[in-house]
Amino acid sequence: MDKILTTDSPALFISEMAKLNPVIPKRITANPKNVEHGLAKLVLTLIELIRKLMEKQAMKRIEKGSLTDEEIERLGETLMKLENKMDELKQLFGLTDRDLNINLGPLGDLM
Amino acid sequence: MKIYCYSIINSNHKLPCRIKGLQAGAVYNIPYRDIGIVVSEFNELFTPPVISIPSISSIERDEDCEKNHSPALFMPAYVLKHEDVVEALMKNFNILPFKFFTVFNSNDDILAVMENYYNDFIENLDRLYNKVEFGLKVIWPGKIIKNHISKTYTENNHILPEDSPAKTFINEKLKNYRIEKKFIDKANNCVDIINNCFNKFIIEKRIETLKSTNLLLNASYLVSKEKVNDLQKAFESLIITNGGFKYLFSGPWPPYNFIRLNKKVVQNFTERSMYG
Repeated sequence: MDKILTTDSPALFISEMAKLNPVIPKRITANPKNVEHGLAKLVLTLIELIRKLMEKQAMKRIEKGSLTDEEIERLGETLMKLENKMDELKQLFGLTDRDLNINLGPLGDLM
Repeated sequence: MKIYCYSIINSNHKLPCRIKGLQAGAVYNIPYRDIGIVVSEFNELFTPPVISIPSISSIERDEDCEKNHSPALFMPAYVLKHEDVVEALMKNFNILPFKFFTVFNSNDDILAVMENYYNDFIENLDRLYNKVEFGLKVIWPGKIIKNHISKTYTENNHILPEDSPAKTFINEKLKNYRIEKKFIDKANNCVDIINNCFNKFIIEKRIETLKSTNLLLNASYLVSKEKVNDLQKAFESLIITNGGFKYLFSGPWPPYNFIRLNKKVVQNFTERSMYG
């Protein structure tokens, strides 16, 4: 059976698929020089994951109308402070959003 | 010497033709009850580096690569050789292909795997008999669509009076959430239209939607060999009616994505495996 391969844009597909290489390599190199940085990245990635999930859940609840005005105000303040603190920590460890943007498999990228 | 594995096949006989595998090794079938595992011997002194697959444009179909002592240069040729062997087997047998670079230490390890997973292999060989896989990737102008959705989002959509920094923050997050939701809904609608073209001919599908902003769809379709032409015609009709997107359609392949195993196969027995 002959192979069918049909596309009019091979370069476009190559470049798009290349972007999907995972941010975190499948084999982690444990280097004593960068272990602190690696640990910070791991911890901040987890915190960012939880923070993003909380934000998403909050938006769903606001859309549904299941929160009072006061609750929305408190939620907004908390999420704002969390985001600011995360920005500080990222800056402290020299990490960008892209560094923490792990691929969650079927759920897609974190950010 | 190690043993490199290509595939499980639905035969316990010798292979009908000579096939050369990696390192120009003779490919042969190790029978186990009524099935077999197709292998070739592999030089254990060669250690493949942990590298990603190079871009398609840099892959060379050059068997002289093996004469070069740089291991990195072997890998593209090995990938293609692995695929060559799998495709040659597919012409004559029902197959369950192994992941690239599945290597066993000894025949005893191989037979242990065959014994442990025989029922799983048989079930899959039966279920996937006479079936092949097609792949479809679709690129759409995701960034443009998202920008358009963002531009048409007006201040009137704000749900909250902006009487505090917290509410302003929430409004901004809500805006992003709604834009993202609308974008995802649009993507899902497009994917449904695409899948509806193929649903009549496929047995199963594996779908990933929006793997990236511009990669709308990454799909694998399981189809019986008799329906291959119908699927091809459905694709041709799709690109005429939905010409705004870019398509990458390929096949037939062995049903890599439709093999279902109850146990995690091989990890405990293989020397190394290229991806995980």
